[in-house]
Amino acid sequence: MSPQDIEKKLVKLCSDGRHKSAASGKIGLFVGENDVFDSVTALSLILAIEEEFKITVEDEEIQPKNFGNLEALVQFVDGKLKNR
Amino acid sequence: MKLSILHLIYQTSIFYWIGKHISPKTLFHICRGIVSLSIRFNPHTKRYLEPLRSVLAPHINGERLRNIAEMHLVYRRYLDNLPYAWRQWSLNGRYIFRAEGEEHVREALAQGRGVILLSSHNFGVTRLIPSVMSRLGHRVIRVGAWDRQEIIRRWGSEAERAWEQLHLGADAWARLRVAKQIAKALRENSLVFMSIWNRSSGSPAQAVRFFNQRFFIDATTMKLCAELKAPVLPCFALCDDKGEINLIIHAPLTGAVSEMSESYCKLLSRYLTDYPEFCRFWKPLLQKREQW
Repeated sequence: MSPQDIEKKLVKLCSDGRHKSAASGKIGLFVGENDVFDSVTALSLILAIEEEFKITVEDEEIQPKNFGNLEALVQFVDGKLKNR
Repeated sequence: MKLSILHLIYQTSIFYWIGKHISPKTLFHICRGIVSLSIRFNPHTKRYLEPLRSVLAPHINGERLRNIAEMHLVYRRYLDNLPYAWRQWSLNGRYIFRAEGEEHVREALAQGRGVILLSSHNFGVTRLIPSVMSRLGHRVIRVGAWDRQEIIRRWGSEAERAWEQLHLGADAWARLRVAKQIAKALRENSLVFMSIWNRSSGSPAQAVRFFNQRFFIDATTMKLCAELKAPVLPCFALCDDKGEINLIIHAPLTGAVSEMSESYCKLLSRYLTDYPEFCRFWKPLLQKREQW
């Protein structure tokens, strides 16, 4: 799967319901309604990513460098898929 | 460390042997004795009870109020020492609990999605629920704010307490990692214990009423529970007048997040009204602290 395909899928996941604002890639992925970090929304996105790409996100991988924005997330998922 | 006989017995190794041989009933009677003296002669105790009295006095008669105030002090003292005492009784093979509604846990676990046991912060014997559930043979994971060192100090090593601790951590990313670990534990069909914080503000669905007072449960915890998609069982642990712990587990909460919140709040409201002596948040409630 190419990084472009991964991005398309991620944008679709982010556009689904509560992650709408993150789909633009301009703001933090896990920023909720009031511009604060929303851990519940973040968790739902991580679980959705695991299911969509059939990957496992390890605890230590949950950090800003992998999930801070859409670009970082595309790179992270791409790396996970390549190392599978 | 507080300067008290019971703290000395349970928290210093030199008195370990004595602590091990004090039965639950004896500990409870010691607490009653200390309270009956303190309520008469200690001015600090009278000041401490002022918030409780100011909330309850307009609604109940004097005799009942005195009884609630006294038992509140007894339970508070008893429960403060119980985690330490429990450690030693556990090692000694003595247990003092009964559980109602355990069938709800078994039925929920049969679905294979794990179980979330949800209790209220600062009410009853919340601290001992993981210990009781472990003793009943469940793999229990407790989610809480204390780090590993604090947990070991209070409950002993992992081998002694038989339940696991997930420390919430200091920042949002650490909390997210914990949420992910909870999801993993539930996938492994484990029992996860959480206690829900109280707040001075919130939406109507999260409002808890009792004795003309109102506060709100933390919205995020309930949202997280709903997101995890595991059965959520409210549970409350009380204590009888002999010091025995009674754990009551209710049927799973159903519906959307707001419905789950409303059902839980109604239940909590009922417990608070029926057993106000187990409330431990009179002062923060009156001061309208942001969270307690």
